[in-house]
Amino acid sequence: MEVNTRNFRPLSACACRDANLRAVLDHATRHFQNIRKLSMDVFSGREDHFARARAARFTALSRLPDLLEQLEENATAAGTVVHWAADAAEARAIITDIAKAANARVIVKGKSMITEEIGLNPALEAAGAEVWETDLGEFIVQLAGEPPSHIIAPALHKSRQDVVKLFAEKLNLHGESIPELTMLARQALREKFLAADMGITGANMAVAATGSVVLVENEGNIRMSTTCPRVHVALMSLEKVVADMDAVADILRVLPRSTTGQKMSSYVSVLTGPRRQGETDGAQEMHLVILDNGRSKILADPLLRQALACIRCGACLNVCPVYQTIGGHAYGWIYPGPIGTLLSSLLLPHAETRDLPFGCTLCGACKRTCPLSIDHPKLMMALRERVAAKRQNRMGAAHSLLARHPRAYRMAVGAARAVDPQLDLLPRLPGLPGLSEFVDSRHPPELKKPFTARRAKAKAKKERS
Amino acid sequence: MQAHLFIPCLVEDCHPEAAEAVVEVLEHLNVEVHHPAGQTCCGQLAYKTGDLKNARVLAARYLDVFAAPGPVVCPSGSCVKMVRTYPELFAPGTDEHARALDLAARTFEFCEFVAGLPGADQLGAHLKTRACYHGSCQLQGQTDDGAEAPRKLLRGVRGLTLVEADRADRCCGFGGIFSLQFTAVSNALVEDKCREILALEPEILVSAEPSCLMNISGHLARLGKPLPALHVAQVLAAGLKKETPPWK
Amino acid sequence: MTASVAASKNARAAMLATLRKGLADAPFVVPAPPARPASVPIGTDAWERLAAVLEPLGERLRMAGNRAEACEHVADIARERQARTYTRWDTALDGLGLDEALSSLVRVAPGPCKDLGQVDLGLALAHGALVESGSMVLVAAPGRHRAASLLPPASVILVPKSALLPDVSHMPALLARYGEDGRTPSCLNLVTGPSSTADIELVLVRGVHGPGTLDVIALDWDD
Repeated sequence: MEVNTRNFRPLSACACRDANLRAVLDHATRHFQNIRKLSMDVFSGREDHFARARAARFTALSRLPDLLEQLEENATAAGTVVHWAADAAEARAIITDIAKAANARVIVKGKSMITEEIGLNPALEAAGAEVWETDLGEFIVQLAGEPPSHIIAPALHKSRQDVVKLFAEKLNLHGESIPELTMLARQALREKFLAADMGITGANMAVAATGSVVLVENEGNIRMSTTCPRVHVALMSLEKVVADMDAVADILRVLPRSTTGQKMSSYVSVLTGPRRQGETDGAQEMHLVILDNGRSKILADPLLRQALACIRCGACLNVCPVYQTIGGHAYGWIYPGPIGTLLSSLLLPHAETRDLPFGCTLCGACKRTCPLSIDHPKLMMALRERVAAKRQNRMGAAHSLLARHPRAYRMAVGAARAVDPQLDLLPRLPGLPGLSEFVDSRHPPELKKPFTARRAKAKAKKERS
Repeated sequence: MQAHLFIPCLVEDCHPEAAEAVVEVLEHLNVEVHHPAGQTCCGQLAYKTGDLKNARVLAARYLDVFAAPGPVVCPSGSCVKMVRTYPELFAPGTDEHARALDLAARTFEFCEFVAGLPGADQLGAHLKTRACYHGSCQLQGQTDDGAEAPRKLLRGVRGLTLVEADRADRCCGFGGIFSLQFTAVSNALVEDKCREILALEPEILVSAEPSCLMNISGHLARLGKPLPALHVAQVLAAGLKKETPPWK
Repeated sequence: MTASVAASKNARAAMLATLRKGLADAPFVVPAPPARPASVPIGTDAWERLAAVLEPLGERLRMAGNRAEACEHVADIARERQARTYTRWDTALDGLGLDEALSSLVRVAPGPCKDLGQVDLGLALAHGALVESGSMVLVAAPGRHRAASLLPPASVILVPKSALLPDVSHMPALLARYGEDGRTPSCLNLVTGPSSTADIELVLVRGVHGPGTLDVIALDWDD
């Protein structure tokens, strides 16, 4: 997927003006917050479960290289072919080679952000394969030629009418109601599942102790993609590994509730190698591709590495006032919302992501919601520091200089008050970025007789009486 | 008991009535109030733009300004949060780090401080008005009761009809530098906030965060629907005086 | 060694080296978390509790006190779902007499997915039933095909009393127990409700790729 993070500011302004998008986001984020809250309110022992999920993820990070080696060993013993990819280009090459070797003409894919990150589909199509997104939301955005707009509900920005038109135009299939449209997608994709040579998925977790890949879903498209085709390729970013099945259980106790308020997703698949002798379904050839793409170097940073612990529940998106207003596309890459800002800033070139950490009010709703207590605001501040170190901020330097010298500070404020107490003119001076727009929509505060002077006067009056 | 006043820059020059009210309420509760000289800015502005160098310098200044022992009380959750962040600005083991830890431990947001004083639940404040409360995001998550202290104090004012929107604690969209760099998003958020407040038809807007008050009341004025925007301290002080408050 | 295998080897070495260096420069120890909250034990009300969790998922739990009742339920479901063909796990379900109950239907043996694409009804036996979440644990093996609980639009899962377990913290033990020759099974599925999506306007629809209906039959006898 093309990186457009440098346009975060104009894209976010644009999103604010899109009334339809605003309405969809308002509805969807409230809905997810409500269903999540209903579930969390009755989740007995919630804080302890969260702490255990956090420990499972952080322990894995603290043992990452050992666990990856163990994962490779056990996956290989189960018959999985394990590959390592340093970056997106290598991962694409590995997977297209597998597809070529398997003579894969039809490929089905489960929802996987990591496959978006490496730009996989165009590479497979260039190699002559037909690639079908099978998650309903992804299927819809694929037909529309758009990127997904939300981690959990990729087609959130599309209305029923949009889908009616899309299915008619692209598939020549006609339906009106949402159940009808869903059944049409089921029919269309079932053909593909049964004809597919290869299924590609991500991995919610990879288990070092058993060499397993864990996949979580509601639709059944991932089960279909890993049960029917002859070849299964699972692509995982290296931080997805956990130590053992107990860690998996601890995370599963939390993940579905935090995502959609479900006690458990409809389907969880724990896949360990290809099918065994005598089994009649499941892949006959299984591959696991372990991808770096900028993550390994993050482990060295004691503060920023907690971003790698994320279990992709999407809860931080739904409570973020900025995400609630602008949606996913404005963030300019795969990962939106608070965690998206962190991941994009860590994985992409710094020059591309300078504005992202400033698109945050530091309200902390994300941190308070995150089941793993990832400290998004603190990381946001560290990223701001990184940006500021490379930039000159004359206004800030001037302000700090004044603030160090109270007499000069008071004189400056006093002068402003003498000249423009209503602040009609000063905010509109050139060279004060953003202030002019700010006062367009807010009547500025008045510069009044300062508290210190009032207090001194009141004290003097009291002493006289 | 003694307390030192920490007056945010915005309050000093744009909302001095809030500071005066803070003094009135504290003195009513038998707190002897000192106002250390030389206050300019706690460094929050520099810190939030990522300018740690200047934030550190301004923090060090404030370690001197508030060197005298005793609690420091401030009518702003965000400024208090900044002071509680001071220890992160200094290397552990240094003198400044130790002083920062000390200052952080004895700096309190106004409502938090007052709610813990003897006599706070029998203030005897009486004010007949319909007030809509906005919960600053900066008060949440700092301490267990942070977000509740302002509400608790307001509920103790007899005659006060306290209302709040469903999303009373949702960010008003100011975020300091955020409002200058992401103005469209900031505007959208303050529009949401104002719509939700106006729907409750209050007579006044009340909050414990001066920058939120400035942001929200500034937009209400541009909408042609101005509301008196008062700090919690002002409502309490007016309630204690038992005379018609200046904004009526 | 082909170019891509070499690249993979290099990538592996580089990735592990970077990770190890990172941890050496900034090691961390993760404090032990609190103990897992105690599971709610399986008591005499387990079936009721399971039924209560299954209900909002659109699943009906039918009680069977013996094999005959179980078969009656299966026949009822086949009729309700208007099924003409079925597929089932073999040895696991052999002793129940299901084939007689479904004698008016055509049975399709476990086989490639292509051959099972038009089957109406699928039956499987749960190795575990997690009461807290209403999750059925199905472990694949020869004759216990994954497709049985996936391809047909109507799914039936039979749950022996001995399969009742409190919650997902008990799943790892099942995975360890049901491997052949001590190996981890190729596939363990947790099935919690029919297939569902809300991707269009957040409206819930059941039966998108997996089964649209899931019926559970409690085999309420000791064996």
